[in-house]
Amino acid sequence: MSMRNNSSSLLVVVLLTFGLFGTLKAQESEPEVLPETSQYKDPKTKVWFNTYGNIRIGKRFFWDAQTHFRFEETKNTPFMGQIGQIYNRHAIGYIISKKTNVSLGGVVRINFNTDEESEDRNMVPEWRIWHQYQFAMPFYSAMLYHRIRIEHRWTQGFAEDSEYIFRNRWRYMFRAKIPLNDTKLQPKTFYVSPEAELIMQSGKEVVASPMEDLRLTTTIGYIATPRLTFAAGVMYSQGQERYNGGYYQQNWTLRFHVYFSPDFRRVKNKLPDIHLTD
Amino acid sequence: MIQPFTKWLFPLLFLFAISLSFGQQRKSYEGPLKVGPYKGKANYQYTIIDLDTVYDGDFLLQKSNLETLMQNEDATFRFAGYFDKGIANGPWEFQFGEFQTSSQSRVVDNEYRVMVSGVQETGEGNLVNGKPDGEWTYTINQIKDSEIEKILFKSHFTFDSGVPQQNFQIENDSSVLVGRFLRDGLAHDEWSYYGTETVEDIENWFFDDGLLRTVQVKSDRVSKEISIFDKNAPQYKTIQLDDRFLSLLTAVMEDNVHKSHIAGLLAQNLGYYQKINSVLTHLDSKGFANDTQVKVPFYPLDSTQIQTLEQIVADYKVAAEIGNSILKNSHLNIVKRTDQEAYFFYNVAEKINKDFLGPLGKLVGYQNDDVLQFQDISTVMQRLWPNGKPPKDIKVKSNEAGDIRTFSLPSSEEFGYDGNDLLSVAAMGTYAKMSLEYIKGSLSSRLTNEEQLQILNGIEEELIAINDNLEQHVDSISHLPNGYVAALEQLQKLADSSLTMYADIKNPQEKLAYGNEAKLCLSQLDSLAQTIKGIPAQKEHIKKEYTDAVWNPFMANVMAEEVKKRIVGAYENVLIPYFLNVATEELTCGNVGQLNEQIVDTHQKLLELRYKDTKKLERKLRREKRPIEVLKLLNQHSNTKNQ
Repeated sequence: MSMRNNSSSLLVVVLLTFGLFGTLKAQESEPEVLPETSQYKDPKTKVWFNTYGNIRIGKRFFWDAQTHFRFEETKNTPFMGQIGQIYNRHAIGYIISKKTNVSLGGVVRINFNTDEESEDRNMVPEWRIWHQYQFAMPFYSAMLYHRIRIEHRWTQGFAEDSEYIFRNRWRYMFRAKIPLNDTKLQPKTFYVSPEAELIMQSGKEVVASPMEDLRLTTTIGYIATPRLTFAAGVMYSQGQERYNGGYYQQNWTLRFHVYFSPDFRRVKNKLPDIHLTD
Repeated sequence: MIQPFTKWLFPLLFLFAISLSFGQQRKSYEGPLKVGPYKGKANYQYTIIDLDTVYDGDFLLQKSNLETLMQNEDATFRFAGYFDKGIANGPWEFQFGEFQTSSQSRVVDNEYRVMVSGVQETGEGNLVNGKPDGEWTYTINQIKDSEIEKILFKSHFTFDSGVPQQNFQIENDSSVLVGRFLRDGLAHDEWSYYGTETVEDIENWFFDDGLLRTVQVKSDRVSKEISIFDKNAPQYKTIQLDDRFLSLLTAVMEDNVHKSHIAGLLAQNLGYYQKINSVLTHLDSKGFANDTQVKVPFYPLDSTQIQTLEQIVADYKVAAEIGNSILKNSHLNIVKRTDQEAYFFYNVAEKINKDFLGPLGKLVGYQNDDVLQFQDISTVMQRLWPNGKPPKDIKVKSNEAGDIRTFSLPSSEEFGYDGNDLLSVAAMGTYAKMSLEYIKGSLSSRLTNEEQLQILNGIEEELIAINDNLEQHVDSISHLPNGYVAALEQLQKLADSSLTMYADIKNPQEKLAYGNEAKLCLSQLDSLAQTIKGIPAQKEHIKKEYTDAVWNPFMANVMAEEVKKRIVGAYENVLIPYFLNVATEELTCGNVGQLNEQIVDTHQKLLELRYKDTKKLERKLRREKRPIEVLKLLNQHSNTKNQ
């Protein structure tokens, strides 16, 4: 272990020395040097508490309201860590059919500085515009889902004079929900849901790190009622560091989800609930 | 130039004068006329003789009504012929038709034509002095769209002043009867009946100089000869081949299951001749008949025998009436279930009816048809009682277990009817009548007064019918859960006990009053049984009604969602057990109707509440588990306005 650590740190030094000139030409700030082989950072642990609201506001429209609380380990508080982001995602969705829907909305994310030794700001906002396209397919007793989500994202660092940078995120997620104790997904059913999402990014600031994140998740869920579902799972993710595409961060995340879909419409408006094309 | 003209003028004037003098006597009538049952439009000539109007000359009476034809169907007739001073003479045609129309018409040669379908009967031939003379045919055609589709019946006779001559032929759509006569109209030789499709004879009658000796019938290629009349009778008599002869034949051939085809065709033909005869008789022209003659044995009855027969007929009539009144008495039918005495007497009456009155009825039938004089009495006896007359000691079952008890009249010693003559038959008839009278007397206490009895009878019939219904409902419940079975069994128990109670009441007035109550109770129990049996299906129905199909955005599928669970829960877990419990534990005739109504109402209310704003009700139901209070809450809220 120690041998390997030593050799890799040696490599870094060599690469840094070689790369200095190259990057100097491209960037006026500190030059970046790609390591010879990809460098995986030690995985971090995180815990996410996510709520997903889907509130029917019309025959075909719904309000997508998600609030996530994301914690991550810090030096002083391992494992659960401290609050990293509070995440508010909202959109207006349109139900094209029972199996297809699209959404358009915005995100305000509050990023907290989890570096306990940092002198910078404790908290900065992040803004996004997003749209997504979801397709569902029945497959035997299970359901398969494809989700394409595109985000336009403005972020800034914690430094006092940090400026917003703009990036686009390109996300594709494939997910299955397989009922465990029933022949279909219906109330009182447990299901297992494997899921894989690839998040790519682009923008002026993205030079050598297009793969922002690859998320592999498995959750176990329970459909309590047609309007309330609980799920919990584990996610492994990895992605390139923006500052240097040779470095990969890794995360192990525990995720807890509550899905709720209330319908506050008056009874008589609610009647044609599923007869969308009548 | 003048000469030839005057030569012809005189005879011409003479002829003209003669025709004028006749013309003055004959008058014409055109207008409505009713002849017996036939009412139509007539056009006839008549003369007045001794102040009487007498048909004389052409006659036509017809009826057809386009309006009734278009509406439904029309019965038509047309009688056309000629009278000679009141007597039908010359060619005649009688038509009877029944037609429907498809209401499709077309115009041909400036006429409206309507297609008709139906049956047209035509009898035609010549009459001399009112009697058929020459060839007569009677044809029945089946008409379809104004064309003859099928000949249903056709008879062809030749007459000489009413006496049939030579051969005759009667056919229907599948068979033919041919036969011949002697010159004096006596049936003779072989009369054959065969199918038009097959060559083989089906039935043959063999006459010998008018006497029907044998009938040969063939079925399934087995030929059977039945002797009818032999030549050993002391006397013979010539009679018409008419309904009476056919009845006689039926009596003689009684042992044979086989029904004579020939007799059937002859009877049919006789009927049609009678139809024509009735028209002519109503026109005051008598004598139209098919005067076919046959010879039959003759055993003239003496005055004692006639008297005895009259007594038999009278006794039989009384006995049959009493027998009927006992056997068809529905009150007795109820009573005999519990009352052994009634059971016994009922069975005796049944046996008398079968063993005594059955054969006696046949004998009385012979007498009514007036055919007894052509049969040997001892042969008749042998036929009616092949195993001897029934004994005076009548043995029947005295209870359901099958113990045998014997009935005999107290005065049975005085009756002896072993003989083989009419007197002994009369004695037997009297014995049967008196026995039935005795039984009626013994049962009289159970058959109180007639009027009340009839009312009670009516009620009892209904009670039994409703109870049978209820039993059927309660019988098919094995698939239901225990609670339901117990409740339904309790309904049956209640029904049984109210029937027992009814049977126990002696006073007719009270019985009537209670009977009416029991009827109401039973029919309510019947409805309740149906309602209770229907609860599981209703439960399903409610559950389905209270289920929404909800689209789940996260799963992207449609899920069934139970809504207003508190209401459905109260119905399933509080009210239904309560209803079943009331039915099982607290049911009386007094609350059957109420319970039934509650169950039906509750179901209705649940359906009504489905789309109403029930938040308040649901809140209240969370705490309320007492059935009565729950019912009250449902009542209150189902009356609120729909949201």
